[in-house]
Amino acid sequence: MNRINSLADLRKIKDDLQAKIHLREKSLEPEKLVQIKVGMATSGIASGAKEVMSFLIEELEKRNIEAVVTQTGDLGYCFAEPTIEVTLPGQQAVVFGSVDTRKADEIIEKYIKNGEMIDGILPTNFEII
Amino acid sequence: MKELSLYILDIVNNSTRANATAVEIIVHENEENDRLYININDNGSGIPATELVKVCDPYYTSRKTRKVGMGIPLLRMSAEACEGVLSISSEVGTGTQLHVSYQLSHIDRPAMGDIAGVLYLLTTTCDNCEFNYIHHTSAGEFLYNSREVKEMMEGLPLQHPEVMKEIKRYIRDGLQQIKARS
Repeated sequence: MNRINSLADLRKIKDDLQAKIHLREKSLEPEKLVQIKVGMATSGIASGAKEVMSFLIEELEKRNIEAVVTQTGDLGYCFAEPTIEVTLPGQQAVVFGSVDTRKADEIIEKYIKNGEMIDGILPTNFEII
Repeated sequence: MKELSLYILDIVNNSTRANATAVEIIVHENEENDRLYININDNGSGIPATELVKVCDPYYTSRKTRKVGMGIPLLRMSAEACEGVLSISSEVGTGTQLHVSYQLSHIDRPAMGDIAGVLYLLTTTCDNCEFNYIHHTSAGEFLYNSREVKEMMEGLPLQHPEVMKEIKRYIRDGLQQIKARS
């Protein structure tokens, strides 16, 4: 049987990648980075959270914003999926609802870069102590 | 959901939420008897027998944040619409096995979809969980192991767009070589 597990191909590419990627020193203290959690439960996945997450990973890196993008369960806002929670360094977390790639772009440009509040923020029912 | 890959992502998220450290995803396209099998096995906390009978009920969930749990019921409905079945077995402390099958040529069978994107996401986002993806077709089998890929990419940021592109391309190439269906 034809078994495909050609890690060797990836290994070759790795050297090229290493040369191409300008490694930035990631800050070791995550609280100093922008933290984004993408809601990836059933409702999030069904409404396109995967695309939003790929978009965020790609665009934040391209736009030179140091951020950690992770996935999480949902927060109970299934009517407004995909939801993302954005925590700017030293600030309260803000949850945005109905995020498609266009909205994600707006969030990066306005909220993450300039701290400007935009439409689509969900009132969260929890307090972070 | 539109694609089977999204169902896979959803089910694997159940495994990681059950603290699984190893998940095995096996996709088998069997053209001879016109079946598509998907098996997802984990070593998570398992589901007690009293709860196991309820997992196909959309109004059952182990979460406290909401009252519905659609993941497994949706997958079962989609399979049953395509001459398929879904079954789950589980043992507390050992893990859970989910088995779903479809009629491969069924007109309503969702496409496999973006497997590369799903495997990439799982690789970058699950820190404590490694998974093994095996895809069989009549032309061969493709294996993807998240630990191998992470070790391979040691020192490179997995979330870098170039790294993302290459990992996805590697998976797509592999699937193409075994003529996996879209």
